[in-house]
Amino acid sequence: MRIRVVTAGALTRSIPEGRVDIERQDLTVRGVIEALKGKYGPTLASELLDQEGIKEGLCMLVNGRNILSLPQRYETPLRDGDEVLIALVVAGG
Amino acid sequence: MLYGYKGKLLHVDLTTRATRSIHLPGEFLGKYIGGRGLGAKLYWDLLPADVDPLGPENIFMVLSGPLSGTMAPGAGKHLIVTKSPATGGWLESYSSGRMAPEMKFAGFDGLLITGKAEHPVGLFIRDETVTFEDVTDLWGRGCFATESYAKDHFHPDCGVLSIGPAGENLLKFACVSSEFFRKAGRGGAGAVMGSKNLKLIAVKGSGGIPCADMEAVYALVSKHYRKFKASPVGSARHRYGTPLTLNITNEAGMLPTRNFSRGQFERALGRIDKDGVESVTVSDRACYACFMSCSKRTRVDDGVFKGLELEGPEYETLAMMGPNLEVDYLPAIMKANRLCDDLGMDTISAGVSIGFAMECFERGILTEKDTGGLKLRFGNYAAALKLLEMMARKRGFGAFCAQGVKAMAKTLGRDTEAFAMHSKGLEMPGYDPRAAWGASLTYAVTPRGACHRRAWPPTKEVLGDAYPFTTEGKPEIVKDLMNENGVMHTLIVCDMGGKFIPLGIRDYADYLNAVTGSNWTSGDLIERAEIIETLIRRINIREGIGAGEDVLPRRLLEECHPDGPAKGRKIGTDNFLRMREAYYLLRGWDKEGVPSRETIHKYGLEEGPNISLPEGDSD
Repeated sequence: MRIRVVTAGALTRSIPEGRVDIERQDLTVRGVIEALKGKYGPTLASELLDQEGIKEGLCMLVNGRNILSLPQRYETPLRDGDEVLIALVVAGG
Repeated sequence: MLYGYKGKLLHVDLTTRATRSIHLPGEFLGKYIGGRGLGAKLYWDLLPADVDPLGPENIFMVLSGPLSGTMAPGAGKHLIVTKSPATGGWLESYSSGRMAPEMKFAGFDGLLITGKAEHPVGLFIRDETVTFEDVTDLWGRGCFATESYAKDHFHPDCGVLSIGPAGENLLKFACVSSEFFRKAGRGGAGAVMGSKNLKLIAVKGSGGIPCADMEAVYALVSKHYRKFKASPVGSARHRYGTPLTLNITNEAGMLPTRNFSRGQFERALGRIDKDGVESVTVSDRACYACFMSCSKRTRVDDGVFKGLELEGPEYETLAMMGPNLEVDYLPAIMKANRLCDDLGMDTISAGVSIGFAMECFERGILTEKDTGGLKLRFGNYAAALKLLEMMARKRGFGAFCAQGVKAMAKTLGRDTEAFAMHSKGLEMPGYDPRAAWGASLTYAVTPRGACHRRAWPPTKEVLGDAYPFTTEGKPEIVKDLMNENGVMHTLIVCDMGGKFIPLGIRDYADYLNAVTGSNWTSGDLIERAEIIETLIRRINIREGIGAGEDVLPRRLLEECHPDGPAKGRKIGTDNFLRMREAYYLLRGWDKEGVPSRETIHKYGLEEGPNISLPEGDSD
């Protein structure tokens, strides 16, 4: 399956291009994070994660839904063509 | 007298040209603080319910807060309070620039303007000297020319408020301009100025603002500047400004598209989002006393709008002039932005009104015969741009759209009110609540009408862990967010600073104490915000605006998005009404949203001191 990861104002050092496609079988949200760590290394890990999961100030949306309000959170299974947005937790204007 | 304040207001009667000072007792300021709280108490004491919003008895208030003019982050905001031509009730509208600082440098915490001038007039205030100038020559001209006149002829660094043709023509969504591209946009405050023949107000002061502990103020600013510089959130805000929001609202399915028919607009990405606006950005611009500099100066370098320059567009303008009209051509949105800014029109209400007209046109409810030949199909930005000018000058079909969607739907009938996107007569901003149900409550219960600035529940429902498609828990979220913003709007500071530096209410209490020498806690401030919200509720109840006006169009409650994250999710009228009632009860109001006697007593809202307007000749 192919998952598109898009960033909005976040991870500007590790994913400056702002989007990347992940191709794997049977991916979950956690699997996407692991794939990103594998592809971008420690820079991404330090930008995205702390000991609790994704860092305070960041959020992950799967097809527009925050993973923290999905029943399986980090273990949410993904489907081919899903989009994961990594964004800052602040917006408005 | 408390530090930070000037302890008096300036009352100007435009009919008699009398000018008088109004003393503000320390006890009064200690209770209502400033900004929103001060405005609420003045409205309650001075504006009876039968006043015509566009009559000479209405009061046009320009207010500051205890932090205004200091170095506190975001302390360059001013507040306009008046009776709204759009809703017939409470109106608070904020903008930024030098107005609040200069008022305080001149010796006043605020201006209260009543009456009506015989001719178009400009009010020039230099310290405590007030001059009235006939500005008939400026009548009909835009905000840019008007503000330039004040800067050129009075003082280059003065604070200026002005109106354009929309305000002169009494549009219900005419705004008050400051710093050229900054607007107190919502609710028609520009029409109140227009009704008074008041074209501009310019203020220049030579004083300062004594602070109780200046070193503490400086230390706080330094600490928070370092915090901002280290914050990825702050960096992103500085780089992208508000257009970053569009990428998130589109993903979450809450970007109003085609007059709120859908929540996503695929063509927005890369064209009118953060990347689109960054591609036309030439520099940053900061507000007074702010190190975020999140506003963007932009320029069009090619195409039919080549040479166009402005500050913006901000998120709301992008959303309402873009996806809401199915326009994906950024220069056209920029043109709409600049037109509205010069004509003195709120881009949110103007965009919603045009979106409503476009839907009526596509449904055959309006025809080219009605529109004077305009083909008002979604995506036709040329027609939209032409209509904006016609609206501001109330020409032809523009005069019909200039009424706003509530009145438009009432005239058209045929069930059009179902998709007339407003609450209380104020058009909705750029967030579709069907993707974050708490936002529906905010739109319904905020006192000035459909508003995103008193509370923004998507911060919990989309960016946080709250489940978005339920009404459970939302009254608590809305109340808490409203109270937090209520503190910032009372002090007055930009509520964006709190999110992006970021700062908490405790930090703002520290600023308030360092400036005034008081001993506020964050709990004290939240309690004050709670009391002020109930006072404003009493104002609207007195104006006849209660539960019957805390309502939403059927599209939001009974229709679903055809696609996107909210596909198939219906809020439902019954769910909404239960949520609204729970909110009322949380506030200490009854089931109809009327503050109970116990709540009024508990909050001391029947107690003085009260304020009255002075009479007689000038001081």
